[in-house]
Amino acid sequence: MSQIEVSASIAINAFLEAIKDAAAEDPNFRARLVHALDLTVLYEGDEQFEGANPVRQAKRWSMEAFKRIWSSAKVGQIKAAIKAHGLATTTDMKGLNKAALIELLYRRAEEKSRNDGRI
Amino acid sequence: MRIAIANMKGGVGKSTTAMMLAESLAVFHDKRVLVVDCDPQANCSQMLLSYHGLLNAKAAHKTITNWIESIVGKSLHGEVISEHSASECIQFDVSELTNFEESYWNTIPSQGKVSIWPATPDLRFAELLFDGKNMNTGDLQNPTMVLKAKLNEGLKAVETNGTITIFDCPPGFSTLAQSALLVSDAILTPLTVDPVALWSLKTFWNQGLRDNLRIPSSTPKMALLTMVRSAGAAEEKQRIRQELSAFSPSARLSTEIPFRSDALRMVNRIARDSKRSFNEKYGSLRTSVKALGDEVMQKLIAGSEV
Repeated sequence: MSQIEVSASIAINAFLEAIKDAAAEDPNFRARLVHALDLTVLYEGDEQFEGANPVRQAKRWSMEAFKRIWSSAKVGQIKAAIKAHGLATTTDMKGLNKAALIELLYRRAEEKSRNDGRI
Repeated sequence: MRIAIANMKGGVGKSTTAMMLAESLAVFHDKRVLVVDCDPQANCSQMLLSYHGLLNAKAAHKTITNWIESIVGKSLHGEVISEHSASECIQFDVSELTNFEESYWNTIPSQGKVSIWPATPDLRFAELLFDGKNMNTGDLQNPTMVLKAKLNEGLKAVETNGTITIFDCPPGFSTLAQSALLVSDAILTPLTVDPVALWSLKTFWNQGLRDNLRIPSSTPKMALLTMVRSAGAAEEKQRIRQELSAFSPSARLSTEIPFRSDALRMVNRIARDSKRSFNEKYGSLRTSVKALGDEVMQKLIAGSEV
């Protein structure tokens, strides 16, 4: 432990700054913080798709909200999310347009969110 | 033709071997393959049907657990039920592989099919229910003999000429596993490359199959080395291969399934409506999986000619 003595507010501010910096730099960490807030947080632009967890989103959001938010994503971002979360094979995605990819993303994410390991 | 994939030891790759063999025979040998999951772990069922696919099979009462309950006449929850036929509990043509579809690129479509008679984790309890009903004083073998006859009868109703039935047996000798072994024409035992696995195979074949189940020595037996790491312990691996060959000269398959980290991908079927090609599914293991089917087919043909 450091021997330097600082006030409580300085210590807290330094701690919060560190969290803020980490959240700004790391989309996965940012998504984790947002998840911990347990709120539907809407971002602007491309940022919302970085580190997004569609499985958690499908569990928490309505289908309409899910599809509306993902409709602003680029096809590459949708495919990247599908791949990152193991929601479809290359064959499954072949020839699908954006709307069909979002549909697939939601359907598989929602199904996966219901996997509690019980058979 | 019926093949039991069995070993007393767990963790040697029985369920994965059952799936690989089934799909290899269906894709490259145009076989109609029926996988009978005899293991309450239900891994093979989940690999072939997906998690939700298996849940749906259970909800529709289309599992081997339901079939055994129906023979007893009551479910594990005490409901009275009438006897189901095997075909009512089998999920037909379930493979996720696109190689069966004519539209897939230039691949020559296979006429093969993979069907599964799935298991659920409460299978063992259904077996115990069955054992309780059929256990006659002084005749411990009776439950196995009754279930063997029922299994034989059920399978005969669904097998066509040329169907290959593969039993994925659990470790040990449950009533269903014994029945499966007794109605099989050949037994394939996967084992990992270690002395304990080899010891287990010897015990399984000599004490389990020969002494206890009295399976005739003429029943072909095959040993498949699985999860073989390419690096390290070269002498140990060679010694195990030699010992295995010495124990049963014709049993060791020359095909071996190497250890690959991408094997994790092949065992995970994403969803019941998810599709992929044989190469996409098996990746770097594809040549070994094809070779496994080829070699087993060769052995079966050679065995039937004797």
